[in-house]
Amino acid sequence: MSKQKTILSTIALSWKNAAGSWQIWSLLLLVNFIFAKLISAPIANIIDSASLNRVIPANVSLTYIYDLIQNDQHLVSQIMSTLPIILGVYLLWTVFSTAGIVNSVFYKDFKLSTFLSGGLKFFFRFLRLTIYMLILLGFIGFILYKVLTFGEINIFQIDSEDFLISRAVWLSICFAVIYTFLKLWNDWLKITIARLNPKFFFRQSIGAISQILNIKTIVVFLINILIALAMILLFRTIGQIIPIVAILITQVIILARLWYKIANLSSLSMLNSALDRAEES
Amino acid sequence: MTIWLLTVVPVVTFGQIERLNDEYRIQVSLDTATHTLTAKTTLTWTNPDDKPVDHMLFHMYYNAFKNTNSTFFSENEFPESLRPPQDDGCHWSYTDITDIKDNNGNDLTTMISYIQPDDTNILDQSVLRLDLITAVNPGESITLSFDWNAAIPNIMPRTGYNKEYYFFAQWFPKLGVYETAGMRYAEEGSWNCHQYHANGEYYSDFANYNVSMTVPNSYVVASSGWLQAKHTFDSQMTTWTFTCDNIIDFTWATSPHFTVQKDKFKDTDILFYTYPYKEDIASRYFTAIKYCMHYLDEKLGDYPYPTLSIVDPPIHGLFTGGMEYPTLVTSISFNFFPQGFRTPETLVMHEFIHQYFMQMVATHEVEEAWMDEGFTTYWEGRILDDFLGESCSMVDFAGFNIGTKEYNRFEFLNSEYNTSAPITDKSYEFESSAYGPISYNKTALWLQTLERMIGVELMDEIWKTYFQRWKYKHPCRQDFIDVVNELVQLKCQKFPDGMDWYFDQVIYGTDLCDYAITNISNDVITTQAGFIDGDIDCLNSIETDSIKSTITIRKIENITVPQQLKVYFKNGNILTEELFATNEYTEVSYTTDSEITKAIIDPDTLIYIDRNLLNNSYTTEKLSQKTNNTMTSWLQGRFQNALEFLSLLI
Ligand SMILES: [Zn+2]
Repeated sequence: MSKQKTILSTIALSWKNAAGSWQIWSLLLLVNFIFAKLISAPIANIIDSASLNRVIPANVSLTYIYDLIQNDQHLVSQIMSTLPIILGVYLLWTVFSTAGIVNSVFYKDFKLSTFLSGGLKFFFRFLRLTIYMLILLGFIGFILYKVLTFGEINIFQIDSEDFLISRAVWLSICFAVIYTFLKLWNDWLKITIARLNPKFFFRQSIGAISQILNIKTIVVFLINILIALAMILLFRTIGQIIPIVAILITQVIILARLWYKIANLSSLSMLNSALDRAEES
Repeated sequence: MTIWLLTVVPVVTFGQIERLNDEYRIQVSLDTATHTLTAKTTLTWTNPDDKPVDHMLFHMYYNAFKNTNSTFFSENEFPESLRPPQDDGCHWSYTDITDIKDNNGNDLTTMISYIQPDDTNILDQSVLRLDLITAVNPGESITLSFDWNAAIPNIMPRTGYNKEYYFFAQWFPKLGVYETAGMRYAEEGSWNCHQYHANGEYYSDFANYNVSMTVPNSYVVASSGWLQAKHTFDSQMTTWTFTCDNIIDFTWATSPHFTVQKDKFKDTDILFYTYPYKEDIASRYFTAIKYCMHYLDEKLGDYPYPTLSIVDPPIHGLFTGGMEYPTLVTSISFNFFPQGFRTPETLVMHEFIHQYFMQMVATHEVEEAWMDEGFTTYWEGRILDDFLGESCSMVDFAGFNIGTKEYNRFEFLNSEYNTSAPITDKSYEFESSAYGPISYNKTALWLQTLERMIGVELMDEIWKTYFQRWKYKHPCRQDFIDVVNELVQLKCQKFPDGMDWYFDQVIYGTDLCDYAITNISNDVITTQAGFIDGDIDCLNSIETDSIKSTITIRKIENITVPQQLKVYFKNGNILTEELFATNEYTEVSYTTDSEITKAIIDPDTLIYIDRNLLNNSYTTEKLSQKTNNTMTSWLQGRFQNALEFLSLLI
């Protein structure tokens, strides 16, 4: 079997898994919808209370938004205070659901029970992994910020802002590359946790770096991203051409992203297991 | 050598003495090694009063940066970002007159003292008093010749040097304005010369300037006025001579790195000075400024000066950006600003409009800041909206639009200080954060409302009359109010008594405005029940075809304005009537054969100062439900996307 064929078949199988795991993505979409509703409903409430008996202006403008906000400032501050809680709970759900997906793709069993038991089984390990990753991301962000502001950047001391602009562009590119690598590494480690449940996680993590620095893994990872982007673009275009209710198009686009999430983890799971078999043989 | 000017012959007209321009002839030499100026000024002033004047007052603005004891620094109101780093070398400055004589040969050097007309800070030296040995008689002139020098401040608000960039604003000893009795608020002839405050700008008299600057050969000079001569007299230094008549101040800048690009509007040369790294922005400035010049040329009158210089400082010269000076304005731009951020256009237009309001119509920028800043902000909104479109004249970036007018409205209404003082306060009397929203935004907002109430054509006529009547003079608020009242009484049937009722609220008052419709009720009228008019039968109440509809209007804030009420009936009838609701609650009732379905107060949004336009309408049919649904699902979609994006990240 040629290398390309392996890559293509991995990707094809992954997306097939993603599409087939309808119980999982239905649940993910539902939860996403409900959480978004928790945020948007109070805001819609403000709009309602301000404008139920009003003739609403044709365009959303600063004037309209300002008038809307001052109409019920109490509710606005309530929303602002509950927003972090909603976001925090959603993040925990994301950790849980990722654990569930990993369990499902690892066992190639896309029933809801496998998903939920995986969520419970790996929740705390994934939570820790997420926290480590966030710390690492924060650290990298801090380093990049230090590089951005390195040397003299007091506006009264520099000759022009041009060097800052090019520095920012280069650092953004750096950040994109590093982030992509970290994301791949992070996803790979999730699979590793499910597969090996390793005791010495740190050693495993370091070992994983050499495993993901592998053309096949990187190509699969990037192609999956491209497929997701192409799908989103396609659905967006369809939404613009055919006058479908906007909220439906949004659901389809969210769905494409959920499929990507499952397909990506499925691909990595296949590659990870193949590695295992290679090691065994 | 002192250069004596011809003593100006006094002109007396109709028993009054005509005000003559001051005459400044300044020769100044810049030492870039020591950051100092050495200069000689010859100044001729003519007494416009009918009594002798025995002293003169000068602004010595650079002394505000002399030390931390100055009023400027003790008030401490200017933005932190412009505060010089005090632990890093000497940033301070001063101006010192070393020798001064009058045209009779009297040495007046010992007659100098510093006074503090605004406060008790005896350490402040921003106002110099010169007692004269020979008083200046009515209509006569005095010519003073004085040597002075100055240390140039390093990065002070609006002026000074940084690296090789020099910007000279408020840089020379500048005469105050002698106000004769009846002029503005003067009850008797006296000098009007405020100290330099942290919050506030300037006030000076019209003058004819001839200024020669000697700078190193490699330096390019940008200046008020037009270049009369340029003389390189050795391998080191070049003297640039600029001249300009009928301006209230003189400003210049110099740097070896300035590039100059030129354009033209009618007979005016537009000169754009910046550093090479951002010279590509010139076309944005030229397009915007020519549009603005054309607009004001039509609406107010011509810009009579042969040059307009625009300076866009390098990033380290940011402390001088966004300011207006006669025939020279400064802007701000960054290379990382996308096209959709209209800062360069907004600033250059704003500062140019000041050529009309503060330069030609020379109001007092300290005592009545709103008459230059507010008027300018109003015009900036009009011109930018016309130039770029009303909804996106300020920001048009990534689907995010903000228009200038709505930005003004937001800035004023959203400020927590918006009712802290009337606009008539002096600049330095405002709480620091109140100065901007009240002087700039509130004024622009009530002017926009005035324009909508009386119509744009009449408003244009008012502006043109005000400008033509008061150009090259120093009007005060009553002079503007008089022009408005005169024309409104003459041409606007809606307000036969003029607009004092409005000005009392928006100029002298601090109240806000908010009218709302709080309810519409429709009750079917029933016949009377019981024994009616001796009828032997007891009648039951029965429903008639008539409906009594009542609209409840609430005046939430204190400002009272007449406005229209537009009423929509179910049968398709529409009724518009004038309403002057002065009480907190007003009920308007109709008895017709149809229900009221909708009512809108101020349907054409003339009253733009109204702080909540949403509550101006009321509908019994919940017409807005469909719009609400669209908006709610739009919001839902945005949040779903955002949440999913968040979950993909980790
Ligand atoms: Zn201004």
